[in-house]
Amino acid sequence: MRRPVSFLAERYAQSLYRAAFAVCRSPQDAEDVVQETLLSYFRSDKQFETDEHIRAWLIRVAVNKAKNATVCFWRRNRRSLEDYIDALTFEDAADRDLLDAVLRLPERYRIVIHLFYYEDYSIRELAGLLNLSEGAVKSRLSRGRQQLRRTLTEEWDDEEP
Amino acid sequence: MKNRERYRRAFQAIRADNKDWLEAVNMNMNRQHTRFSLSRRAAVAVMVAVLLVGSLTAAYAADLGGLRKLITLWIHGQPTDARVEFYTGEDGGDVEYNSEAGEEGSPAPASYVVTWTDENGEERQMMGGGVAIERDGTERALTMDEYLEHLSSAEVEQVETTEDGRVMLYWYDQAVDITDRFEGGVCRLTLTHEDETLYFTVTDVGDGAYNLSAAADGYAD
Repeated sequence: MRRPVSFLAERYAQSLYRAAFAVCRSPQDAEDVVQETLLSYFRSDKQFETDEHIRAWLIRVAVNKAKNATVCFWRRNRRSLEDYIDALTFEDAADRDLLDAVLRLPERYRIVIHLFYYEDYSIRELAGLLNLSEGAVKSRLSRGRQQLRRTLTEEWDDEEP
Repeated sequence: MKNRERYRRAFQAIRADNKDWLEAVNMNMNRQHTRFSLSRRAAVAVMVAVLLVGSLTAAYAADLGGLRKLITLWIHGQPTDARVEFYTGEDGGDVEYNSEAGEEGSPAPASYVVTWTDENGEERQMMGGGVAIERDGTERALTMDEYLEHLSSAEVEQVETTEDGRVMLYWYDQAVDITDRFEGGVCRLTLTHEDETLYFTVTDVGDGAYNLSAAADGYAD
């Protein structure tokens, strides 16, 4: 099955943007990543089994493109991360601290943390999606959580079983 | 509040600007645009769809380059990604259409080629062109936006030749076998969808290609 790009953009663009931003920490690069991800989909002849299959493919491509963006030699002028976060509207003041703490995590933890907490992927699904062993995903998730607990203390202490 | 809920709430603050992603993809696609090869263009014209507003005549192009746009095309009632390329040249001209629609003084496209992949993974194409008839009867070229609006709308009508040689007319979810309805190379057919009635004039122009006219006010001459 295939879905038109307009449908995917409507349904997944914001989600892809957040995932890309969580990886590359640049709003401009994250936008480029979303565009390029949708373009990659359009150019691909790949057939998908389900909508979930498409979503996972888009996220994998977006994460890889966002990783590439972080090591790109040429970077255009961009707003600083601090300026960008300052301009965001948070529902609660503590949300800013959480976002800040996540963005300070090493990239390999950030990716796993974001896809686990925001996209609701299980450890097994993440292993498939990121081409890692389940052990590696568990380890990264655990270390990412530890760092968040250290930084956020009581604001990050209600883990689901 | 659970950590997951807290995390989601924090990241909900991050949003891309309200952006037309389809247009953004289009711009990206055009930055990486490469020219069409002659052999590829030669394979076109299995199907011909002529965009008609009122009573129009088709203008075909045989040039090699063009501006690409990604659109959602409705094929047999299903939304499908398709690439549209516009051309300014006619009858072997080689003028590349490379201007944004609506730009002051920019030439208008004379024709288009739409390419998409069907449910069997086969690449399909149709081409067409047209002019608009103003209220005072004067003709003018259609703008790229008008082409795009027409092609992206749900009511795009199509004529296709099936593998076994049948000629099919598609409009919304209607598929009509018109193979045996040609008289003197012309098939005239009226179809109704909800409150809309269109008069279809399909002309066999040879080599497996057909001109299609669809108008609300009667058959084409």
